[in-house]
Amino acid sequence: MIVAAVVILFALPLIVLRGATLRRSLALQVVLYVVAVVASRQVPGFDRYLATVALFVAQLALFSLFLAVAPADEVRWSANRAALIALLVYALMIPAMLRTPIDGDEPFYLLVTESIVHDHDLDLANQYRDLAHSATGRTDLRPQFGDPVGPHGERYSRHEPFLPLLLVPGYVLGGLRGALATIVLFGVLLVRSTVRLFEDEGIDDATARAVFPLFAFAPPVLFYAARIWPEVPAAFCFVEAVRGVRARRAQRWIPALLALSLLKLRFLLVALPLAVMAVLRLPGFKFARGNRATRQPGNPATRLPGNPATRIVLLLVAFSLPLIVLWFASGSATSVHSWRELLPVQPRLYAIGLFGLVLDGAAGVLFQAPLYLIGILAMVRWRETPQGFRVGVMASLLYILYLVPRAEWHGGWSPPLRYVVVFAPIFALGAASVWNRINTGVIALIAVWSSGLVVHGVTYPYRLFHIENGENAAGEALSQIYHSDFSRLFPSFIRLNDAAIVAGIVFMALFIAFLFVDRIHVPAAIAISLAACALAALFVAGQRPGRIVQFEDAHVVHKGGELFPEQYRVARFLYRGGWVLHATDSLSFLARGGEARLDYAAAAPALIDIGGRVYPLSATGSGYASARVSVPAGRVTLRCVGGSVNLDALTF
Amino acid sequence: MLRKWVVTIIAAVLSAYAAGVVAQFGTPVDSVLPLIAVVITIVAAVSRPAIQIAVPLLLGGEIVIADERLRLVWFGLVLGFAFGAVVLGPRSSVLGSSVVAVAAIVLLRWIPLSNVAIWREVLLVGVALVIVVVMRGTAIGVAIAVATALFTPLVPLRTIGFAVAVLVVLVAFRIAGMPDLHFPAAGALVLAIMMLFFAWSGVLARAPHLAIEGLPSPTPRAPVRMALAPGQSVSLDVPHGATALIVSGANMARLRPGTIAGTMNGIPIRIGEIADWGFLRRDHFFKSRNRVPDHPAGQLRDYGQAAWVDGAGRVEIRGPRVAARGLVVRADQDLPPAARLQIDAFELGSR
Repeated sequence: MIVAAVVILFALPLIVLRGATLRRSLALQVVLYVVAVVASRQVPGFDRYLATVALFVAQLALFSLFLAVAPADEVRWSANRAALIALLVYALMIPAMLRTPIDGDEPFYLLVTESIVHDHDLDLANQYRDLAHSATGRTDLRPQFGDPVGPHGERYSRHEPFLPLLLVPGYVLGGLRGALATIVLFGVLLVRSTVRLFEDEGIDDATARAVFPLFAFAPPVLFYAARIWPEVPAAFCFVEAVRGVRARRAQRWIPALLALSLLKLRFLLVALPLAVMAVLRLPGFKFARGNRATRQPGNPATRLPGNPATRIVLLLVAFSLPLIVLWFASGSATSVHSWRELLPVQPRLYAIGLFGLVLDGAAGVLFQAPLYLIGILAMVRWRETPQGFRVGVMASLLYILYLVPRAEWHGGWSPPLRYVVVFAPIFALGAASVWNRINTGVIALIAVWSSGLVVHGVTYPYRLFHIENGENAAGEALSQIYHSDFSRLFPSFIRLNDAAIVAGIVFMALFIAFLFVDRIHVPAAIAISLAACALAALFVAGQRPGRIVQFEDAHVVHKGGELFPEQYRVARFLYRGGWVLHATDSLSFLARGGEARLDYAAAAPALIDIGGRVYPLSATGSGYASARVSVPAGRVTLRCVGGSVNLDALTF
Repeated sequence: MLRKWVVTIIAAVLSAYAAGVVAQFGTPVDSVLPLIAVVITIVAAVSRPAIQIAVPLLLGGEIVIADERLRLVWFGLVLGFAFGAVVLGPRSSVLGSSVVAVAAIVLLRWIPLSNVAIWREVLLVGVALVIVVVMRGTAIGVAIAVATALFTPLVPLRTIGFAVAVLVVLVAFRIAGMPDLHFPAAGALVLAIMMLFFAWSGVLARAPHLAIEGLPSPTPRAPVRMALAPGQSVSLDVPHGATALIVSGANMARLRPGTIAGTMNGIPIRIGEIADWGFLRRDHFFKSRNRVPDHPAGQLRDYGQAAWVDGAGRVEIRGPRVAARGLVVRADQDLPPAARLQIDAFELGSR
């Protein structure tokens, strides 16, 4: 694999670069390899795999840098070349992602594929009985809670069968790797279509080349392009649909939207508004004319027949197809979902989900895919953004409104940003439209952070999955190093914290300030130095005790006991977390000292010792209760002296 | 222009402050993190502002990496990429290149600050700047200037002659009509490698192949700590798992390679297999005739330009030298009276 990676990385510049830039790029690759070899000899005990991944990511970043800054006459840029580059890079991702077993919904999609191939049905009962022969490599699979059950005991998957159907050819040819290769091909198509979208919408090549690596080789697209989720095929369908709608090419957008809806029922909420916009040609949106797709000879715009009302009826009939398919597949047109999920809920939940998708440390754009923050900010300058961006954003609104109040807005047990991968091309387009207004220092910070995310995700693919406990990988790592609560410094909307409130306010200010981005000029050196100062300030703050101690968090040193609920509990995010202590178990944490409220649950009375003072805790039944305790400052040990108690949090 | 330097000063102050807040480890390299941040800011100001990204990367390393070797190598990598990127770009002015060269020399020679002999260093920087000017600010010119400064011991002062000799040769070439040589990739490589070792630049300067092949790491050892006068011998029990004897010399720096320093079970131990314990120290190196042992077993000591590796060598006790019950080590009787054969330790386990 190392040889393959070296060859591929050597080939990348040859595909697009020419002249002095090509020579310089190749020479610098050699320089980097030499430096890496010399450096590796200085730290002999260091994790070789991590170092190798970091080296290859650095090489990819270097290539991306050359691609971005190359003079126009020394680069051969096109959507097809971008797709070829993506194909080579994504091919490397397959073995990297398979270092650990596939996870989340992936094995279930593959089980359905296996059922289609071997049994020609969707009943997974026999697949569950014979997991040893499954390509999933997961013998621990069980039907998920709530999965549809047939009248004769058939076990159906809750997932739509269209993706497994698409995986069939790949699976037949190459098993699990073949299935992943199919997704990779969709990833390649997504990249190609996105670059074509940029061209259609008038993004200049230099900007497209700068944004392309941050879109294609950064989260979330990079990780989803080599994993079995419907998100990347859906993103491809969506971008093709937007291009089709913009070009008024019904033969492009109708199949694309149908495929999108078949991939996942929730995507109907994107497909329908887009279809309505296409049919009605809403005022304010220009469709076709001036669009490259329609200028090409032999590529005329095509329209649906009839008046708008007839067209809408036709479309509604067409878009009932996913519901019919699902009804046949699972016995219910909405599978495990309910129409009631579409009804409005508490406004607070909308705010949490919406800000969470943008700012959450574990599941938000800011920390997991910062490029798209620029795309979001681009909405502030709505009139200056390309039509394709506006069409895409408008089409996404209903879906976002449906998604954000749900308890699973963060994606559940999946790599970050699962539910919004589908919009990645649109927000990349938004980012590209304001790219020249973005501070160089900010771009450098985004590039470095994204590279770090790639190194982390490729080296430890299992860490792409994170339990929804309000922490994230970075916060946990720092908390474990310093035994202090660094996680609280990362905004969490999963377990709402103070940082989330601050981040929300700052984001709103930034949102407004972006209106005046042309008038604000902060030199790159200052921007980066301010980021360094923020890093230092957070480092100092992180070493101080927090206002709230969550007992299951990484900064707490656990001696005995167990996590509640356990890591793989289905819909774990619906539970109030905690750490269960039994008699003689203990834990220690950094406390600011003083009177505090202890939130706990105990089936029977329990006795705990905090810093030498013993407190009886009354039984709470199946619920939670609070007790007032006095906690000394500094590192405090909490012991369970008698009984068992689920400790939730300590609030000063 | 004024605005640019005001911005640079503000950025330098902010970066230095952040670095000062974050610096938490006790090594001289960690303690000069604010200086490093200022140097990077200046380099970014004369080249590309994005180079400033090295500052948060350094701070991130200081926060996250507790292991000293790994952290300092990370610092070296970050600085290597920063300086490499600077010379790799479009050719900058002679003034810009001079600033980059001085910045690199400061990082390679002025850590730890307490060891800096300021006038000597200023003299050396002056020679290096003339080299940059003679090479017209090219990438390879910067690399040559910085390498010349790095490899010039300056102790004793007359070793400045090495730097002057390089300068004279370059001037001669220039007079002979040497064209402008840029060689950006080569320049970037040389600078990156030098900066990679900035935390132990003294070892790179005085034992480059030892550094390139890998700075020594601590190995499990059973200490012996004996010093044998000329003609003295000692019998040692070999501990279980011992694979080598770690031996060095004291007051042997003037002995030439090949000179017999002693024997182990009758087999000669020569200078070249071992060396004077402190011959790689900055103050002793120029006077020494020793070379780095064939199988170096010295430990990495100190930081920056003061860094050195002691001259201990690994003398295998397997194969023909194996001793079932014990080893007899004898210091050669022809050694100078003040010389000592030092038996530092047994090395345990295979490397």
